[in-house]
Amino acid sequence: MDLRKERFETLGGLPISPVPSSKDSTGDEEAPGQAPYTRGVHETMYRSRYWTMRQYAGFSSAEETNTRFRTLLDRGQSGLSVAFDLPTQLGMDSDDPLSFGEVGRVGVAIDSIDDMRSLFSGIQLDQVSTSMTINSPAIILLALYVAVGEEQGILPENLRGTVQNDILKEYIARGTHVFPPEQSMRLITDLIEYCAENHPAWNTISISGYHIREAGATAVEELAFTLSNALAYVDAALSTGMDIDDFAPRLSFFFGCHNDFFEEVSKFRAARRLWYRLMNERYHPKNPKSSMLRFHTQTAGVTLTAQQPLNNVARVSYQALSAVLGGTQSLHTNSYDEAIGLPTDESATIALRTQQILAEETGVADVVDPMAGSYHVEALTDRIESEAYALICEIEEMGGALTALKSGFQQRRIHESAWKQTTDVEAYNRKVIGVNHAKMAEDPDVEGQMIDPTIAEQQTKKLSELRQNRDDAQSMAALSALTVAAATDENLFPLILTAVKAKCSVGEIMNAMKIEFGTWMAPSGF
Amino acid sequence: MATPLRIVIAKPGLDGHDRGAKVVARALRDAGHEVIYTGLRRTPEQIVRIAMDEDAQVVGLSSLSGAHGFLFPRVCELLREAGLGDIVVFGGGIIPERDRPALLAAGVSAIFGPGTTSTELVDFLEGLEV
Amino acid sequence: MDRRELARALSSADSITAPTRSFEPWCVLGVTGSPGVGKSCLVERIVSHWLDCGEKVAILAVDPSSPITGGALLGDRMRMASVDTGEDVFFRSIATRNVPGGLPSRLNRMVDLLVHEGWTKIIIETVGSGQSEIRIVAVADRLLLVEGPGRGDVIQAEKAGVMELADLIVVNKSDLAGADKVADEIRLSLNLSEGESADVLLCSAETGDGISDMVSAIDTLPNARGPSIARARERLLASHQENLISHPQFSDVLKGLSEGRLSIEEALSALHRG
Repeated sequence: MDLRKERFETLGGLPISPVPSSKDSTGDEEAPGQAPYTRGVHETMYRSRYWTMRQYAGFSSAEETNTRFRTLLDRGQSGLSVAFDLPTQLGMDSDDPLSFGEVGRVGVAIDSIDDMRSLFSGIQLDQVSTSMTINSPAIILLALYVAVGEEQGILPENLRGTVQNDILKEYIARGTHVFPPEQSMRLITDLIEYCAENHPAWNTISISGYHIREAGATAVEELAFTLSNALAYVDAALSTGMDIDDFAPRLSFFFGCHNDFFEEVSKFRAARRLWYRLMNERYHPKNPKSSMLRFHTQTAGVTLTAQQPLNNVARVSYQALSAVLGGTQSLHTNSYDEAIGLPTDESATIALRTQQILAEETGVADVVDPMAGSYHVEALTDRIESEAYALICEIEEMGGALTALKSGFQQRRIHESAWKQTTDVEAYNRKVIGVNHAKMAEDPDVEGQMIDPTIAEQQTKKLSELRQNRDDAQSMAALSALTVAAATDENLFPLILTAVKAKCSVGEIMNAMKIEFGTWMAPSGF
Repeated sequence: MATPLRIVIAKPGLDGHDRGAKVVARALRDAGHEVIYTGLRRTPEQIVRIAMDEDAQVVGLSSLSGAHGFLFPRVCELLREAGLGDIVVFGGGIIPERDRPALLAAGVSAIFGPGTTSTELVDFLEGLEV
Repeated sequence: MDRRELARALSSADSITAPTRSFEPWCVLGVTGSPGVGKSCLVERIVSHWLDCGEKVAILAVDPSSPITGGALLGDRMRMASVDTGEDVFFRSIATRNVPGGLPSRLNRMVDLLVHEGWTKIIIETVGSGQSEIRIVAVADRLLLVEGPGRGDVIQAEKAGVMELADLIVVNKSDLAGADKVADEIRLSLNLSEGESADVLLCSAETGDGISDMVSAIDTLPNARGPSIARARERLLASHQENLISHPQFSDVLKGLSEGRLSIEEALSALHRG
């Protein structure tokens, strides 16, 4: 019989056996919750507790985002995830001339402790877990969160959540880096060290493949680059004198889930097994939690089409299913209108409902690792693990993730993969419904969320009020102490905490460090 | 072979997503043009300066952060002030339909959203009289 | 001419009629080296040093055009954001446009124009591999070859030609392991060749170490009244090649050669006639 295609392979180009059998893989008789954790980090997985439904949200002002957060909590979301606007992500104040046009756009604008307080108004910080997508100024935003927690009277050990704090993937794929690599790594280890002592329930880093994948990487590249970055963080933390078990249990990961269903499920399974192997090969941790890969997943924004946008509800559902079958700890499902603009209240609700339907109606959460033993999934799991391992070794030979990205290695690989995907679609080797196949004439009636055009003015006003109503001598003293300490190897977290309490703005604190650290732009890989 | 167009592909504002800009730059090179890629985080002033020094005929702007409503018209305005009003400006990224009329009125010649093919872009450039 | 007029005039280099510059004071620095050695970062350092000294600096960054499509990706200025502001610095990306032998004379005319317009230092940056690239940097009054650690094997044969032309060789990324070793290897191979050899310095464009020594070494190189013999040779050959190519009979002669109607000797003598 004629076949539909000459060659069948995964999205990432891995070969596929036409009829998988025991010749491809038998899978090992492993138990979930047991090393090497291929089948999951918990024995009972979702039979005990569903994954955390954690929708990334934030736009405009702290007050508006606070309203959206409370709505999401009311509708059954189990954790908060803060999206910051680009000025905040780059540690710039809203009144910085370079912030023009960007304030409150892709997330909430946070300039000072006043904004952070408003953001969590009416939300008890020991009652939620909060994830913050923040990297270059992660140490400042976490200090703000800690300060608000203190104001609420929350015990330090009861603060639960995650800061992304993953600068390497910013250099590689996401582009919100500010400081040079060595100084950035120092801020990361300062944060890890401070939390290990003061906020033991805080996840100090979320080592992210998501943005690497969005930028064009294949599944194998996503996994390899992420774990190779993770090894760089582990080495950096160890070099400050910490013990592996002091911090490794609080490392968390963040992956994307793309369209190729089985490849994605296998990727998650391979990720756990490979991390276990890497940790035990190199660092010999005593605490089993140190080599358990726990991860958050977001459905792939890059797969959303601006054409026939409601089709995206179907795409997101399948992607979410692969994340759940892959054993994710938490999940963000994208809204169908994100190729058009920021999600509206309606589209964000549908995205959350998609997860709830998956959890409550489909029955997929009632079985642990139901894909185990599938010849196909087991074979793909093996294959992804071994290919990612080889790529990690290649990076090691170049001197590790940091040295490799300085030469643009990962960036170049990602661009090549992005280019291949583009040409595949344009050559019609791959069909995208509504884009190069099953096209329709349509009215563009999906419009996305409107942003209040006065947000930048409001923030500017709040900043000038802040600067008027503070003890300037105290603020300036905190900033100069920070600059001085930046030149030493003192942990900067306590100094930054002092500065945020002294009403220094995010931009001021960032600049106090810039004086000593300078700035750096990563090679684009072009 | 016709004389290649000189095209500046720029990332204005703070947005760090350059997958699309790089793919477009490469596609335009393959179509026989000379493409100057600016890299991330350029101000409208810098972009106009680059377009001037490079004697570009076309400037392509990419933004996925929602700041296009400020940044794209600003580039057009500064180009005109610099006496470079004849440079053709096109834009790409996440640009809601309702924002497009204002961008076109400000001097952006065309907006290319997600799903645009290289062929559409190259055809647009070949139709230009520059 | 204002900035915009200058930029436009540079595009039509064939019609540039600025007077030929003199060799004193020297003003054109060629910078070459393999991809990844950090040329752009180093050039940015040199530019900023010269700007501080009150010079007006123009950078001409050359990248190859695709032989198939004629297109080119000119990415050098993204690595040098500091040149995008300030009236005393000018940056122009240049594609080779597949005019064999033609680019050096085009560059020469561009440089003459820039000098005439009051630019006091001009940097020509290019990837230094292959004969045509060597020709390009031969336009320069002084030539800096940039190397990096971890490329010892590349240096040898391929680089011999450029090394012979260079006035100064600098090993960048001196903060990385292996930089000293590369510098020693280069010194060794230079000692094997005849004549005076270039100095080999170490620096780090990233940390700034060794930069001011390097710039003062460039500034204080012995002031030859013209290019070295090796560079004069490249210029002469480039100019000769361009004359051949621009000969009105060139394509006819080429066709004759390819169809076997002409021998090489006949072809050459046809092109040497008026």
